[in-house]
Amino acid sequence: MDQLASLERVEAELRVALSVLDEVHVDVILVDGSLFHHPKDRPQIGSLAYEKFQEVTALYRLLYNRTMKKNVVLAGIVKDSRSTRLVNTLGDILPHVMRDPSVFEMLQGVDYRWLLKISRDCDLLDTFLEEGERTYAFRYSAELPQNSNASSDDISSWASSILVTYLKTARDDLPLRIEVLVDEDNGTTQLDRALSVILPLSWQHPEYGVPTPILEADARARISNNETQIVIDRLMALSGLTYATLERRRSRNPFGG
Amino acid sequence: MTEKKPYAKIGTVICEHDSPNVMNFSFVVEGDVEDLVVRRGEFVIVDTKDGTVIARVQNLVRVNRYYQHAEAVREYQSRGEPLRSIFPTDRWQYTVAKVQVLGLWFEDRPLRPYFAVSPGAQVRRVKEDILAAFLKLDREEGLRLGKLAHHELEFSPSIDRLLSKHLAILAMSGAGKSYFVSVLLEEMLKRRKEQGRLAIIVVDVHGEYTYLKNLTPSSLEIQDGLIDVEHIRASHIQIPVKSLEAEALGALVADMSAVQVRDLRRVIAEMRKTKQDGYTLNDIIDYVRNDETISKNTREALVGWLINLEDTGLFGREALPDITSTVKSGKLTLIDLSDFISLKKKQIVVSHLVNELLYLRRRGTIPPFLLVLEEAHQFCPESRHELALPKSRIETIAREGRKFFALLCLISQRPVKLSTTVLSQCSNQAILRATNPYDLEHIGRSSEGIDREALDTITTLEVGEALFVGETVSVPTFVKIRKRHFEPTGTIQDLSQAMKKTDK
Repeated sequence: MDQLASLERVEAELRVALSVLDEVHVDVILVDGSLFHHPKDRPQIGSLAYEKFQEVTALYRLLYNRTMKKNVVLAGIVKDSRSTRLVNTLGDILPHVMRDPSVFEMLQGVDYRWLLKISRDCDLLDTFLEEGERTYAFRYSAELPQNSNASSDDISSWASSILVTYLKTARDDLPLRIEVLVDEDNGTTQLDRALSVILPLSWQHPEYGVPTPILEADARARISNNETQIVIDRLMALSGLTYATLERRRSRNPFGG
Repeated sequence: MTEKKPYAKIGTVICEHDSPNVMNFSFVVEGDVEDLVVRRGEFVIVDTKDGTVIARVQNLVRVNRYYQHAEAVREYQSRGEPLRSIFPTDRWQYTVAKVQVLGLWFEDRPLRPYFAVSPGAQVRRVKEDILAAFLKLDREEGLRLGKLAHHELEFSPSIDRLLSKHLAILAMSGAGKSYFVSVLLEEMLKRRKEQGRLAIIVVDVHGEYTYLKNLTPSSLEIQDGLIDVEHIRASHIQIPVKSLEAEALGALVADMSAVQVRDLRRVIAEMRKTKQDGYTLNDIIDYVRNDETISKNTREALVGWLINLEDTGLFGREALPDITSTVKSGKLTLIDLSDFISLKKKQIVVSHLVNELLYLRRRGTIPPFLLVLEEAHQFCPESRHELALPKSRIETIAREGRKFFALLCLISQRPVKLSTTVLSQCSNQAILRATNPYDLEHIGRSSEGIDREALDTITTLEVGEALFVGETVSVPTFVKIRKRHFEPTGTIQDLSQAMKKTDK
């Protein structure tokens, strides 16, 4: 059910992005979250959610194609990335670097494997990046598991068209993971074009480096508890079932609490 | 933009912690962010099946989620750019109007509110006819004193409601008291015979109303009729000694003993017998000097008192002017005291005038009148009895005058110094801008119809704006006083003008 709900949300977001493309002339579209579906959102073939997943992937493809066609920069802003791509790379490199006696001496007694295991890319990069700096860019496809069955569907081919980088937008905030859809020929130019828009939109607050349009969109989309309860009550009424059936006793304490 | 026309929808009632309740509710104001859709003090209505709820906006709260967190605002602005250039802040701004319920209008009559409006109910601009009826205004025959603040409705209270139980006009200096009195006088003088007219006597302490003697019917936009204004200078006033009892003379001087009054009473009784065609104070002085039956001490004291009174130049054989023939319906009599510097002389004149007016009106010799008393705190102060000769008489008019239509209009810039007895008898008060906290407190205490909110608003009134409280309106009402039809000419309005004129 959670998977289905997540896919419904992604579908709604993709449809909004497509309608923006259709209705408004834009240069850049900032998407709240990743440009590619999360591996957890991929249901098993034949499951209840699989049909929805296929709809969503179709919408992804439609969005990618249209942005490319209209020369619009499509950028995903991932606020709380849990990615460990760079940490893993560092983990691969470190044993080679440690062959140097001076480095070995420095790291002696440090359990770097444990440190890397509990770190995410953003934690690591927060130490090294200064405000306004970014990491090298890599392709999203590099993060996908090689043996994934995702490689078999055609949306996976787009993963190599998505460049990923980490940008330190605010002095006292973690770096921001940014994903940009690019074409084969001038990927870096398109990435820089996107970042030249994202950085000035994100650096006003020294402790919160998220682009202001994302904050505004978040405020507009947010549904308050009160509104949620209204929807739930309405659904309950439509279902024809009573509170006694739908709510657990612990939630129906007549004195609240 | 929300329409200004009556009955246009201006908002929707919302639920808050303890509202809507019977006496209060809040509504979200419609319209663009920058539009002033509704103002503090404006009347609004909510139509329900049980009648029209009439309410007034007490306060307006503007809300914007982007500015709710001071710390976030500070951080975002730390780079020197205003928040509105970073975020679409205007989109999130809205206004909540806090409203006080004043009454319920049902089947053309007012009722006390007895239910709360529903959340989601539509709030509308008030219809003028309902508001006029609710405020008990007389749109046909009323005195057109100005317009209701924030409304186009003319403030036209009926003369009965405004004046029949005395009126007090209270404000700080320069707030427009005299201007308002001028407007009131114009309206009174405009009245036609068939509408009923009062005789008006204005005690003009500073000579501010002298210009009214040049008033013409055309200046008041009257087609026919006559404007009757008589200007009497203080120096021409003469009080007839023969009309004064010993007690009355005793009241004009401080500390006259009972023995002195008793002897004086006997002397006056003798004088009345022997000089039936009248006598002067000098005649009484001569009589006292030659009366051996009065002890030497009493005689010397009485002569001293009487000489002091004679020195005022206010007393004589005949009454000038003759009040019976001067005070007439529809006529304005200006008693100009600006020639006098001595407060005591002013008080003697006012004391005599009030006494005569009350006496003659009681006997029905003169028509119903309105006595307009400028600087009323000088004539009926709360304290200092020995220096307030007319106080008891003014208090008598205040207490009993309305029964035989001897009406007062008291004007004061120091309400705190004005007799509480008199002020509490003034069922109507027109309060203009006042800032002195003692005066405000006094106004609040002596006026039943004024609540804390209205009292606080008095300090924010603009010059020429008045708050009417009392029986003339059903609820305290803010009014923008209209322009005078007839402006004084040649008067110096401000210090700069005065300096330029004299420094030529």
